[in-house]
Amino acid sequence: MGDKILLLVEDDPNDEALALRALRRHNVKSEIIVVRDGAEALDWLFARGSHAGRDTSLLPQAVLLDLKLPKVDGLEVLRTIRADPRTRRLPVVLLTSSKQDQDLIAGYDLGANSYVRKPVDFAHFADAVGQVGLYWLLVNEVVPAGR
Amino acid sequence: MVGLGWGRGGGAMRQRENLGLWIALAILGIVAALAYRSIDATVGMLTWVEHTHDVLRQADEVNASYARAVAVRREYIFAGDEAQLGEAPALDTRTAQAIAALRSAVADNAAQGARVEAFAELVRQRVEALDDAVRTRRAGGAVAETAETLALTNRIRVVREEFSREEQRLLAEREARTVADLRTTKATSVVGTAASFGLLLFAFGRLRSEVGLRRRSETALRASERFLDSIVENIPDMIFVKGADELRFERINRAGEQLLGLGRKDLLRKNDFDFFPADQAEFFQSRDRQTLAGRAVVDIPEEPIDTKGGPRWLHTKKVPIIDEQGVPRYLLGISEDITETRQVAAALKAAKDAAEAANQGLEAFSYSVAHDLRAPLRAIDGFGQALEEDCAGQIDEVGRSHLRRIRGAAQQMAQLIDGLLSLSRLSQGDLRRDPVDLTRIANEAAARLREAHPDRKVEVVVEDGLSAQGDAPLLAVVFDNLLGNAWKFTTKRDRPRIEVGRRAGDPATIYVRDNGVGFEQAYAHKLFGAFQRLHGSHEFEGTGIGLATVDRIVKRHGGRIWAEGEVGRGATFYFTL
Repeated sequence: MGDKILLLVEDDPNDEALALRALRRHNVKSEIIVVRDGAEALDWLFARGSHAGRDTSLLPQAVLLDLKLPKVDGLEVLRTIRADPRTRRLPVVLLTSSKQDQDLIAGYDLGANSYVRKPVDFAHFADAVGQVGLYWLLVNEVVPAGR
Repeated sequence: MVGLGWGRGGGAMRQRENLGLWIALAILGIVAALAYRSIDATVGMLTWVEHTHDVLRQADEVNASYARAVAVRREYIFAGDEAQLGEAPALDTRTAQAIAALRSAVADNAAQGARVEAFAELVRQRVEALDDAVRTRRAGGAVAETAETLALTNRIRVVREEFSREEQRLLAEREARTVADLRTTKATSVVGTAASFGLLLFAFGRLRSEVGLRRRSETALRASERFLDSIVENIPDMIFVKGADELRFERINRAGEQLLGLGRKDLLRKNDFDFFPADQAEFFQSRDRQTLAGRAVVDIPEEPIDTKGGPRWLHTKKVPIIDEQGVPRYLLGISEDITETRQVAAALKAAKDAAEAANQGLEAFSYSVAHDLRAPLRAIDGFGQALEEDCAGQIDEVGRSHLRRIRGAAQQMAQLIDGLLSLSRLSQGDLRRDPVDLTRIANEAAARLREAHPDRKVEVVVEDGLSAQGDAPLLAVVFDNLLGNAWKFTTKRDRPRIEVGRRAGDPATIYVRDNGVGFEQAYAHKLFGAFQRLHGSHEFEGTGIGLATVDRIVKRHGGRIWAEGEVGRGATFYFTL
């Protein structure tokens, strides 16, 4: 633990609970950091504000990003992630309530890797991690610490 | 720019007229000169005739005095009457004087001169002979006429007759010449008069035709002016002309009078400052000067003007009128009253803004529906699932059934929201118009259905070469829905079949036909309304959004959709694009 992190950005407590349950049920063993708005997400990623002092070399394996967020919305968070050299290649999976959502298209234009439809169900989630190339997320065990 | 054709090229005509005048004057001059010469000649000839008569009279005078001189002497010689003999010397002198006068009178004629000299000599001889005879008689001698005397007398008579004949001949000749001259004079004067008469007639004719021509052209000019006037007067826009120097109104038409609420009597020779507020008048005149200085049309799309009837808006074009020397003479203005048009445009814009605002409100609402309404649904569905999975051991079959219904209802509602959102989104955005291969789109829709329902065996027949102009993604939605419906409503058929093709004899109409459960034709008009369903969801699932979406897409393409059906005999959907 500690070196495998997923960052979940979600303001709705129900959605958060369902997402965490889905991830656990799919044996995702990574540590899951939950932040509840866009500003906090950026603070955590760049070790600012309440997260000042965090080791920024520790990047999450992926960010699960809701689009509709208080303060700074999901698209703005994505734009900031893609604009910063430290996080430019960070896999970002969008969380959306509808695949008809126009924000989804804007999200792909901004460089999102994939999307998962809420509530997070297994079929969708498997597709999404496949597109992002994170199959190992679904592996039961933690990757052996061989480094 | 506009040039005025005020001059007329008439130099050649004037030159021709001048030439005609010179020729006429020359003819009259020649005729007058000829007549003058002819009369002069006649007068000369008459002088000669008179001269001849003088000569003849002079000759008679000579004869008379000579005869008297002879007679007084012969009275003495033959009758001894000495009473008259005393006159003889005076008579001789008279005779000599007469001869001298005659001599000078015929000085121009050598032959007659010679005859006068001969006569004078003979007379001298005769008088001498008579004086001898007088002396002889006085001396008492006898005197008789001698042959010599007779011969002398004879010779005198001959000379006298010759002279007289010659003068008579000259007289006749001169009289004849005078007659001829008079004839020439007459002819010349006749010709001259005739020529004058002709020229006068010609000139008068020319004058009349010229006057007629001028009168006709003036009539035509007036008619043309009236025509142009009536055009200017009847143009429904204000037309005005201002002088270039002081920008005073020179002309205004009826529409202008009506627009400004001023008669032309009040307007003409006045300028803008006499009628309009100073700032407006200043604006009008600045544009006038710009037009005249730039020598180009100036377009003023919107200008306010305070008229007697209230404030109006004009669209004005100002045109410089340039004369032949290139100097701007007048300013032509054409003003269209756009007050109403502007009001309509403003109302239209307000309506459009309101519609856009409403549309934006709708979009905001849709967004809110999509995100906020869904969140609780997700929770119901998600925690229902969690309950089902996590607490399976504590819930019996009845409880599980309830849970399934709860989840089903939540999912159904999520689908309804999706359908509504996609329907509202169809009303927005641009519609593309590209060539679309409908056959391919229909086959792809059928393939998606087969993939989603691998357990169903449905025969789908799509006609080759179906094409249209339209928006391919939207037309894919049309076929997804129509084939999806057909697919759904043929579920209970033994040999389900779906056909897609062109209507016979009407290649612009595409149809999708199935042999499913069909519907009652009486309800056909209800098919395309949102949430309208002809079958209960216990029979066939569905949201009631699909055909409303299809209807919206077809109408956005400018097309039409309708359906024919019969319960138990399948349905056919027709549409045009």
